[in-house]
This record gives sequence, structure tokens and C-alpha cells, in this order.
Amino acid sequence: MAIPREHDLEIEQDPGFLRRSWRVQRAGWIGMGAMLVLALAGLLGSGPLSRRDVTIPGFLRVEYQRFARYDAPQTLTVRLEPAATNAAYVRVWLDRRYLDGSKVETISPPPVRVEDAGDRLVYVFALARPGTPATVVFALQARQIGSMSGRVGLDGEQAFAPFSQFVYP
Amino acid sequence: MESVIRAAAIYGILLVVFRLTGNRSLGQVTTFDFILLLIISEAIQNGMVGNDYSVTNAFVLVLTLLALDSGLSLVKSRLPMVERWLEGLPVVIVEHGRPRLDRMRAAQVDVSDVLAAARKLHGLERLGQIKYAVLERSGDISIVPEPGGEPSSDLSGPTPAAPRPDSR
Repeated sequence: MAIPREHDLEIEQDPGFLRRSWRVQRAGWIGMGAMLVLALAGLLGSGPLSRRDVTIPGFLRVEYQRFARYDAPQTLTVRLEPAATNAAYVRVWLDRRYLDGSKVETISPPPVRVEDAGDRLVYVFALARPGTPATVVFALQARQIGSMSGRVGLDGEQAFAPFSQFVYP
Repeated sequence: MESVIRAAAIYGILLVVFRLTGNRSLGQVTTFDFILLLIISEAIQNGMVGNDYSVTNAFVLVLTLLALDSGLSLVKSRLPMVERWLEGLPVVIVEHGRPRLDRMRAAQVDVSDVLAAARKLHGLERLGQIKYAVLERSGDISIVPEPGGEPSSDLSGPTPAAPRPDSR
């Protein structure tokens, strides 16, 4: 096989290929730069674009991460409004399917009781000052890759707060 | 199953990223490049190993990486086109003392890199003493010295006296 050459140096030369590969390389740099910007913005995990919340008007607001990563810590924050905390206990539920795909690391404050209610788990929290806003933080780890959706609600109320996440591998 | 996928994913990502950032990125190993390499391996490690610190996992990972590597070299030897895209081609960056600045810019090499290689490999002092400088696929520069020292005047055109000629 004759190696195409342009001088007495016996070397494989292909200026067209070099130009093409440099063009691909430049496109690659642009692509990697764009990935970095997206990662900073939060499209690949935590960051401003990833912060979302959903409310049940008058009762609670759920703050969650739109983009999460497999096996990485993330938080689900439930902010309860006074209308939801007028008794000594507040009963917050999370849907079972969502919890099956995640690992609950810690809950703060810790619930006094967790009840099984079929397709949901009810977390019962004791309140020191009923009638004032309260916050519950679930520290979670996603145990599955892809889109996940979950629901948060108050036991006894019809309305719930649906949310969905995308979990990167 | 998961370890094989993890190792394959990491292998693929590294292959693409290092190819895209160009041959030069780690071809010339300075102290800092060496540290960078260590940090990169550290960063990669967790993604590949995950939470499984067992010997079996380590064994499967190593097996996967080696299998991919030898599989890829088999493909490369069968299909030259794949080899080209994965490893690039050598680039002639100096011909008869004249630097090919367009190529050097694209490949991110400058005249001082060529001169450094010329000093190190052949003890050459000037660009004019270089017949060919080739940026090899491995990322380092190989030098063929001009047999008679300085090139004859009809070949060289204007002798590059300045260390960084900006004419082509």
C-alpha cells in the first residue's frame, strides 16, 4: 500500500483529514464549554436552574431539585404554613412509588411515627408550637436513573403537590 | 452488570474527551500535567467504583477496561479509518526550517515547543537546522535535522533569523 506523501519524509499525510479532525476538535471544545456552562447553571445537577418548588396554596410548599444525580445527596424541603400546623401533630405523606426509587437518609425533624397507607407513607411530626410555620427536610438519595415523579400532601387533604425530577447516572 | 456499564461509560467518555482536547493535552508531561493526571484519576475513580468496594467489583472493572482496550486496538488494526479518528495523524509542522504556522496553530504547538524538542533530541540551535519537525500521534515532536546544518538558500527562502517568524 503506497502511503500518499508530499515530500521525502515517508509519513502518512492527509491534509483534508487533518482539517476535518481539527474542525471536529473545535466543535468539541465548544461542546465541552457549553456542558460546563450548563453544569454551572444547574442543568446537570444542583444549581439555579435546578431549584424548583411546588405549592398546595395555603398549606405547604415543596422545594425540590429538578435535576438530581444517581446516588448523590439531595434534599426535599416541605415548608408548612400555619393552616397546616394548627394541631399538635402534622401528617405529611409522600407517595410510595417515589420513595421506592430513593433512599431516605435522614428526616429533620425526625418523625414520631411513619404509617403505611397503601400507595403512600404518612410521616407524623410533633409540633412544639402549633399554628406557626414549620419546615421538614428529607435528605434523600436517588436509587434509580431517569425521570422520577412524586407527590407530597397532607393527610386528610384532597390536594397534593406533584413534582418530577430527572436523575442523571 | 453495573460495574461493566460503569467502566465502559468511563472508558468511552475519557476516550472522547481526551481525543477532543487534542493530542497535546497530556503529551508533554510537566509536573503540573502529572498532578492533573492524578487528580483526574481520583475524580473518575468514585464514578467507576461507586459504593461497591469488593474485590469482585475491582476485578470486573479491570477486566472490562482491558477487554475494551484490546477490543478497540483490534478494531483499529482492522479499520484504519477508526484508527485515524481515534488517534489522529502525524502532522508535519516544520519543513526545511520553515514553520507551518497554520498547522501549528490548529494543533496548539508553537515554535518554542519545536525548538525545545530540537535542542533536547539533537542539540540543534536554530529553526534553520531542522529539516522536518513532526507532531506525532503520541503528542510529542520528533525532529529530523537538516543534513548540512543550515538549509541551502534556494530551499529555505528567507532564512528565519527571528525566533518567531510570522510569515508563512
